[in-house]
Amino acid sequence: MNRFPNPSLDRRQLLRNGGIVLSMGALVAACGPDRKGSTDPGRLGVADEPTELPDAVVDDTALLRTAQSLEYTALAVYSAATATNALSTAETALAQRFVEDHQRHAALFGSLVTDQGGVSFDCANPFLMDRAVTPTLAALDGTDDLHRDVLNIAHAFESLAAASFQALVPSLVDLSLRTEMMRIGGEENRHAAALAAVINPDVIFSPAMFGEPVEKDADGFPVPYAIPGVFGRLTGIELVVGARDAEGARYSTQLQTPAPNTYVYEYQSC
Amino acid sequence: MTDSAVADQADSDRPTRRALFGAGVIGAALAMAGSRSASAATTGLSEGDASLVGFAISLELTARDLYDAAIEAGATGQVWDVMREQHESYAQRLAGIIGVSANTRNDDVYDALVGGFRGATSQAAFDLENVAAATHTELLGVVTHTVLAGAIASIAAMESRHATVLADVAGMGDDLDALFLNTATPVSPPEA
Repeated sequence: MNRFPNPSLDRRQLLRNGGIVLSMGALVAACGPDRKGSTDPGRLGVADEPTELPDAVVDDTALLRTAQSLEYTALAVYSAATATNALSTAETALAQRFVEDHQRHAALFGSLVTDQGGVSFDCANPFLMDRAVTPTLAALDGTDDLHRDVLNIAHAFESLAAASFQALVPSLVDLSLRTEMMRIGGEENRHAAALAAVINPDVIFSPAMFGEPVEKDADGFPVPYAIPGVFGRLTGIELVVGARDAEGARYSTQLQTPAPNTYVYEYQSC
Repeated sequence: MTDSAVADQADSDRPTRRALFGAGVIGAALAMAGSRSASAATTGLSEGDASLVGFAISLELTARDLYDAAIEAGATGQVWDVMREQHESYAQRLAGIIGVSANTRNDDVYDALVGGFRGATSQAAFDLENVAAATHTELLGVVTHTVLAGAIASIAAMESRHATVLADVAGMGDDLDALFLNTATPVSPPEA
């Protein structure tokens, strides 16, 4: 039985209205001038706090250190490639020549870094090693053709070095460094052309130069050409290695010219 | 840093960098087209850059004409035709950037090299590609405009590959130095 004479003020209504008043009070207090607390944006989930990266500039020294790291990356690739013993005697001699050239290039870049007042970066590019080299080499496990894969890997990383140095040229402020960068870039292009001719000796020029489609081979591998285009290309370099998986696919990655995530900044050390 | 800022800073280095060009074996006196001033004014390039890219265009047209001479002399095969087209494309690309017609070849270079091309020797083509690659690589040390620098770098990259291919065609496939090193002396640009 309702003991309240006015039905609009029953107990349930009173509790509801009281809750609204309390909520409005909290809202007004939150908007008050003396509000305290963190001004950071709210976070969802339980992930670790992001690590703040040091401030770093992309200057000539960073670009040279990046180029130097690419030389050491190539050396790491050749070290793994020759250890497979998959190459012929002639191919091994070619690889040994490339190793010597990359060692010379790495030393030259180191000298240029030092001339700029920087610290030589005598190791492989960390980002590339983690994201490209290590998974590519892991994909060789159980491959159906180790010789094919090793040659394709060598060609891809030579092409990457060639494209990278070309790409870095316009970013260098000191004009003399542009010449030095491209002098080495020219040699990487020569390496890539020779390896393309080893893999694909019958066709020198890419069909793209004649307006024809560029297709993969019957097994799904990109076909390298000694002359891949009219101009030096800066697009991603597709690398396919390993055996087919249960779904018929092989390991595939795109090698990209240096970007802010691949640069070797001043604060980084080996 | 913006492109123009890079160019401005780089521009201050140019007088000393120009001295790096050694005297070319081919010679360097080059009478460039009189349209340099107009092209510089319309494209925003410095007078120096316009002159240097005009020099590069003339070298590419010279290379095209040398391959033409070889083909007329009886050279057959895809290599000769493609190389000719490559160099014409380079001249057109550079001309497009500075907004001029690509129509002036370097007669001094042509006259110095045409004998080898009329003999249709791949050794002559190998030498030319190395000279062209070396010249463009040196130009990167004096050209200030970043778009031009990118275009020239892409040309030097391919001319380096041309040289390796032609070394093999010329029977030097076992000579690793010929395949992978460029010891050619660049052609010197004209004095501004």
